[in-house]
Amino acid sequence: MRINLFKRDNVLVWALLVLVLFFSFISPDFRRLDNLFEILRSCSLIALMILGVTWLVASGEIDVSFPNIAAFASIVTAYCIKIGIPWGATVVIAPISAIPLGLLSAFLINTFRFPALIATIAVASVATSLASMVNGGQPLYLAHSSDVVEYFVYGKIGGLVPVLFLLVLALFFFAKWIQDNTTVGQHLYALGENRKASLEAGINEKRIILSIFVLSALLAGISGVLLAASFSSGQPRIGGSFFIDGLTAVFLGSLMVKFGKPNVMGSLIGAIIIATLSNGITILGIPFYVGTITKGLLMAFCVGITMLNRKNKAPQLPT
Amino acid sequence: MSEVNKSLVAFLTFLAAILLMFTLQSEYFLTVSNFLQAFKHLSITAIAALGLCFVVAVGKADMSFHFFSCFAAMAMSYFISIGYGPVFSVLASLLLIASLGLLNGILVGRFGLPDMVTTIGTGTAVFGLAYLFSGGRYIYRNFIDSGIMQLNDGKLFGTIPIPVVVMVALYFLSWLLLHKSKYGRNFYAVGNKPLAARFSGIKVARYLAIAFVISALFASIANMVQVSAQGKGEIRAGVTLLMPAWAAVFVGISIFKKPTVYGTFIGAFMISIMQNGFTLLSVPFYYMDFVVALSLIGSIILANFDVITTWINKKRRG
Repeated sequence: MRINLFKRDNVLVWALLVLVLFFSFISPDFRRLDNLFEILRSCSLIALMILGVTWLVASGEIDVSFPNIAAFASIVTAYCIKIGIPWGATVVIAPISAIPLGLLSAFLINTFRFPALIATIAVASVATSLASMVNGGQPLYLAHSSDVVEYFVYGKIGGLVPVLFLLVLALFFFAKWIQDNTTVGQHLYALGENRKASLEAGINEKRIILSIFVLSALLAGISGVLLAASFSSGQPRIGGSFFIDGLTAVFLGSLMVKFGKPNVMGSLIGAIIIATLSNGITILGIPFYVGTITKGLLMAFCVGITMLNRKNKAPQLPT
Repeated sequence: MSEVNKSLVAFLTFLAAILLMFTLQSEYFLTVSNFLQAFKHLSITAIAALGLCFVVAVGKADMSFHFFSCFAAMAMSYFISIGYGPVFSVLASLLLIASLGLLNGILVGRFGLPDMVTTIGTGTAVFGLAYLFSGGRYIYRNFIDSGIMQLNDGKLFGTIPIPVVVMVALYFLSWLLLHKSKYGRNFYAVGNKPLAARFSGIKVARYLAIAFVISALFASIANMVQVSAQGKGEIRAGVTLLMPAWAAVFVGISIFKKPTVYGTFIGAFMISIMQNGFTLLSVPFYYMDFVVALSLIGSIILANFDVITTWINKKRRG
């Protein structure tokens, strides 16, 4: 496979490069090597959460419940540690406890034809309120930490390269292989292109939707465990910034590789761009809400570009 | 019995059961003062849901109205803090928010961008803009002296709270617009089949834009009432409007099979009365979120009742 960096598909890589160079130029703190690797570490959690979301958006659904599910898993982690379950079991229990929430979304969408947005808003609210019930709405602090989990969150190979990022990178390459080389990957995009045609072609829509929702919840659950480890506590209301960061990354990602369609590699680059933006804004001392405004506009901008481009290809009736 | 009547009866039975339960559990529930209080609370949810009802009627989803309402409330508090009167502050921030809502409408209506994602984007951007007024801090200055708190505390003829008056007025006007005028039919036409609506000479983009402006405006009014009740400009006050408003609209749809003004009111009433009852029983707030989420899920399941029957039959056969 020959990689041509000058194709339009790779525009996002250039955007990332320009962004990094820009911040490096104005801030000496930003261009330090350990800060650049810290960006990669901080983007890993977001990237982990949006892998499933990427495929859901590609198949024409949407998931807004992933930050809330992660928050739920984080407090389940803290609770398991509190009642004396060892870490080894907790890292299995907490992600699995998130799966029923993904199943609920998929069930509502598949069986009752809920609009995905409404179903996942409802599930997000269920997740948050369940998480609040565990400890009366308060954060639950971890009774003790685990060296192994800490190593996954903060560990650095050679004192520089974050372990977490390497694992996420490996996961994304595996996901890319699934997406591009298996029938499931092809069916996924077929669903997004034309639901009716793919049903006629015999694609089992419900099973695909179900499995991606379960995957999405599972990954959100895993990031919940990592979140609990990095905050030393389970928090019922983390949500906030992960929501817009994650969705913006997915839609940024849809500008590259497969133009106009969300895809895993695009999402990864998108997540790195968002993390770079947040990091640069913090280091330069710019108020955080400038970041919020930028991300919101960026998201609307990406969607705009994609849609206008799609319109040029397929002529439509004039409005 | 027609389909609508059936679900209306089912719903009213459910509502009666809730009311009965709360009456038995708390002696304060069935008192006049509690009901006035409950109606004041209801007006906030109900007004926000009413705006959303227009967007759902044109077949779109709005994920930004709660963020817009935060901006409006902060703008209002800002105008008050620099010395303007309450009337000017409210109108000026409504004007600001209408222009931002129009931006939503143009992006979705004229350029045909996907509604959910675009509104999440614009909503987040506007929420970020709301921080510009105070950097996220509370705005206290002039708040109590300016008379803005009359928006919540004031009473018409000494008995009916102003929020309730505003709610009734907005519902009456919306009912006239959506159910008693040709414009209302056009809203539904756009929602049912945009292409057919366009060929019937309806200016689709214009109706979409108007719906988004109304949604932003009504949510902002709701949040202004909420903020004036709290006595300070707080940036996150409006964020909580999202869930109850969606739930109210969908409870309405589950009864009348389409988004209607009266259905939305009934939905808002059900959710609000449950929240009020649980507050009296001093149940923590997160249980209420849980109940609101479950009623949203339940109402949509009811709305697709035919789907359930096919599902059950399939189960039986299998």
